[in-house]
Amino acid sequence: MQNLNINSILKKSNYHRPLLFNSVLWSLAFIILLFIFSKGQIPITADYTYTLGFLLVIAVPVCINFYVLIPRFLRQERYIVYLLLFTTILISSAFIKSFLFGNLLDFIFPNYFFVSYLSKSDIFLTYSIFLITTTLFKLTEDWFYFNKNQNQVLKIQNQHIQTQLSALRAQINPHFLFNSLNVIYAMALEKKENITKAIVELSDVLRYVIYDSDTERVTLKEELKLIQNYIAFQKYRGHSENTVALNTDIENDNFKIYPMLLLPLLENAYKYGFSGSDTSEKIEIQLTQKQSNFKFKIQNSSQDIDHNLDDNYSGVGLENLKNNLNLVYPDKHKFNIAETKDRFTVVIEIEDEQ
Amino acid sequence: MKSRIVVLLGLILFSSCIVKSIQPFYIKNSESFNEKLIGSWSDNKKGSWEVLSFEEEFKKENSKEGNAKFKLSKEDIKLYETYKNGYFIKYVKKESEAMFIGVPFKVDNHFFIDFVPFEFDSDDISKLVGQHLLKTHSTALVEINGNDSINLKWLSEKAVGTLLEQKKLRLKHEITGLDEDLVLTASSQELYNFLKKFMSSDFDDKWDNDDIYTLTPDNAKP
Repeated sequence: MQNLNINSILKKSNYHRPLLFNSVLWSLAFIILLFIFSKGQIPITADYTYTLGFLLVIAVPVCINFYVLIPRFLRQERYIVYLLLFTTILISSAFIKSFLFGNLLDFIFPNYFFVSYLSKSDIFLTYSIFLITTTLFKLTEDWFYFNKNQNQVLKIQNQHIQTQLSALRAQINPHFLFNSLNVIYAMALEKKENITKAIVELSDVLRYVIYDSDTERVTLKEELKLIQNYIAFQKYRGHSENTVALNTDIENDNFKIYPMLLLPLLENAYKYGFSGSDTSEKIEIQLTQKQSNFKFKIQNSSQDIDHNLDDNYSGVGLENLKNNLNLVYPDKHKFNIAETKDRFTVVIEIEDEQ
Repeated sequence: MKSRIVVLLGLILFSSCIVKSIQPFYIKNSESFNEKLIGSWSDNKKGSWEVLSFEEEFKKENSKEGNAKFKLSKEDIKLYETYKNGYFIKYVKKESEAMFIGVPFKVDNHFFIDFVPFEFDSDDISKLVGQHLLKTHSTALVEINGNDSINLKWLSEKAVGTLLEQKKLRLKHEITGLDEDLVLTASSQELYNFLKKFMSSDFDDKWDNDDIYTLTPDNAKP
């Protein structure tokens, strides 16, 4: 399974609109400052000129903050360096502004009188407020787009998981179907009388596998019924129903689990658990459910056959099961396989609050 | 020192076109005492002026009252500290007398005086009216001419009003009263900055002839 790289998605789906952001920011700043500089009166030409000039001058430290300090220091979590540089930029730009801005305006507009605006002490306060406010504005914009990207990533991840699960299920179904058809085929060759009953039982199993299991969760009762049907069906393959010891200890049979978790293990046990000559060989199943805990343990005799997890013939086998558990119960499950000289044991344990 | 405030109705010291301000036009470090103005003067509008040093007059006044050094009130000390670089200016026209405190100050190389009324002649009937009046500041550019005469060019409402109407000036002000008088409400620093720009700017009708007084020293030879 490929891991999703969030950074690559964030880079690809860059929602930032610098033109829009700056248009909104500077338009708002212009309106607010114009209102302040005109003292709440109807703005005059001098007010428009002063406000425009003020914004042009303050745009320099603001842009340095936006496009150098924030990406290189604040986003890199170098907070102290950022604060030091931010303060330096703030003080130096306010200092330059307080001494040069008035002269510059008088030089460019000799017939305008920009008098009742900002005093030198007001400039430092105004610069501080403006730079801090624009920083917060920028961080809000960053958060807005980060949140949008996060949601997009979550959607993609979810879609990806669903696609993978569907693919895995699609691999299980033909595997089981082919096995079952082989059984029916053998029964037909032998012209066994109960072939019709076998077909009906198979259709019950298939209905569950194809339709009922195509949901996120099924009840333990349904999954157990599938296992019982499957065991019953196996008698047509020459396995006595007594070859399976199914022990259950279920507190709540409506406990929900991911569908088709157990069948692959049972299939595996049937496939590798019998040598054909020894009739005493048995599959032992222990299924327990208490509160949020679910445990399934299956044991069969070991026939010195390699239980290859990537069994090409049977599809994906236990590897599929392992992937399913990782996707559906991340950090909430245990999946253990133990093999001794004569026993092969698989245990699934799930903790799932419902 | 108790100020005797009496209001003389109908007394129009100057033409009504000078710019009035709530705050003085100077800032503390711009004050610049000029001894050349001390003396008696006659103006071109049949008025006479007597300019005295505030500091000297204050000391004289208090020494008359004897041991004044220890009797000065806080208000007197504050008054002295505020205006010690200034003048007492007595203006007489048509037997009406008014006293101003004038504070000389410099704007770049230009010499200005900030005027604020101090005492007026009036009668007791008009006391109530007097309580409605506010002593505002005005300012005049001082030009010393070659013949020892001086010109006092008052900052006129016409020039400032024109700038306001043209929307070229943002200076705190109010238009107030039945006569819609222009009153500047800006701080002294803003007023001083305005004067700096005003003096460096070049535009028509900067000074209104009605508000220009030419003062000739009384001891000048004809």
